[in-house]
Amino acid sequence: MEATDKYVVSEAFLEDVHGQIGCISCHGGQNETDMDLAHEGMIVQPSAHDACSSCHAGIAETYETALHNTTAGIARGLERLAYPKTFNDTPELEYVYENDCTSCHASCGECHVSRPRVMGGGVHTNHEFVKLPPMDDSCWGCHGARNAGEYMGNVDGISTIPDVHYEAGMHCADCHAVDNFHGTGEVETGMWDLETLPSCYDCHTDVYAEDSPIEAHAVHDPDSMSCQVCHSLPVNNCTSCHVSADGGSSVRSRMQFKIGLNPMQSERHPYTYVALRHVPTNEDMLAEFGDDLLPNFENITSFKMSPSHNVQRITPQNRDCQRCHGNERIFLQEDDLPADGSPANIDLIVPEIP
Amino acid sequence: MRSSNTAAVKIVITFTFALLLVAAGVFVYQPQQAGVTTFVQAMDVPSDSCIDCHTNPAAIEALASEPELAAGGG
Repeated sequence: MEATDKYVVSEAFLEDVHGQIGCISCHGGQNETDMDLAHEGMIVQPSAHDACSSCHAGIAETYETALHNTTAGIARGLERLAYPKTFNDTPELEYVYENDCTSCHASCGECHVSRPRVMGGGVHTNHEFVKLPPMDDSCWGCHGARNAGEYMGNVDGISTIPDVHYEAGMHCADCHAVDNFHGTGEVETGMWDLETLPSCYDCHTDVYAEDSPIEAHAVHDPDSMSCQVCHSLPVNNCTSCHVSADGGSSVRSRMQFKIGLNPMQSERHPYTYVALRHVPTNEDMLAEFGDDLLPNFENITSFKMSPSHNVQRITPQNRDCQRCHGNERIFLQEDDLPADGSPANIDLIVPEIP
Repeated sequence: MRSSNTAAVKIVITFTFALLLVAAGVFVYQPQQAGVTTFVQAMDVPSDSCIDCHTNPAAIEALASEPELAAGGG
């Protein structure tokens, strides 16, 4: 991205209510012509320093406990792998979390004004405040290696087939309610726990019916499998973590589509079979920070239910019955399990291919 | 004499406590008003130099652009 795109402020912004406030009132610094002097004491991200709450008190209040702000989902995941160790009694874990994991935290401005820090920052739309953040800058900037990347057909720079909803012009926020981003005021500890997480059934009501013109919808039990089993394409599976003492490392990953048993069956997700995604973990991922920091690693599956965001009406596995039934290649096999992944993954292998 | 001194002390304590309550009401329970105050004050802070530079693409060209990073996970 060019410097002019990152730092130039438009006339339209200056006429906006936020532009009328005055640069220094949010960003600090000084009204000086010398660049160094002007930037002295400057706050790059005012929204990370409570600049929004004085006018947007309601949103700022719910955002306090929202996942995009707290990254509590990552904290919970890490503490589950570390159990019975905790951040409180294991400083190495807290160090990793504070220095690597919290880089996923998003301030108000990182969606509504600028690109996320992990993308190098810089204002989008020349500092104009946007109510609906641009997907390719804001959403993709943090989620581009997986869900947003698959949705838009650009998985961390690799061209893929985009989701049909994206091709129909739908924005992430068309499915995800605003409180998926701003929070509800309730303490949030994990994405899957959000009451307002979207469901395909929100729009596609009554797809399962005995008289459905789509045979697969007529013969399958709705609880037997997630929609993604039939309607998603291969997704990005990361088998290592980018956490590193020297500030980040590359991640092993590969695109694949695998069906397995549901590792997180619940009332809201009762499916027996789900599309799986390997999440970026392995047994040695924190080895450079200390010994045996993840004693519970072997008890937690590193394949998770995939909310694959590359939905298609017709996919290789749903063209006809035989593409799925009896086709063991699309079901998780022992050969698919990473050698340094969790031994618990073996529990997700379907014992008898339907 | 002693009882009038005690009464004076009580009045001072009550008055101080009342002042503290009013202050708490202003600073703790009225964030919207506090925001408006900040806004009004900000109108008096000149930012002309910032605007002169940041609306001038040629001047911004001189600034170094950070290298692009890869997309995040999730």
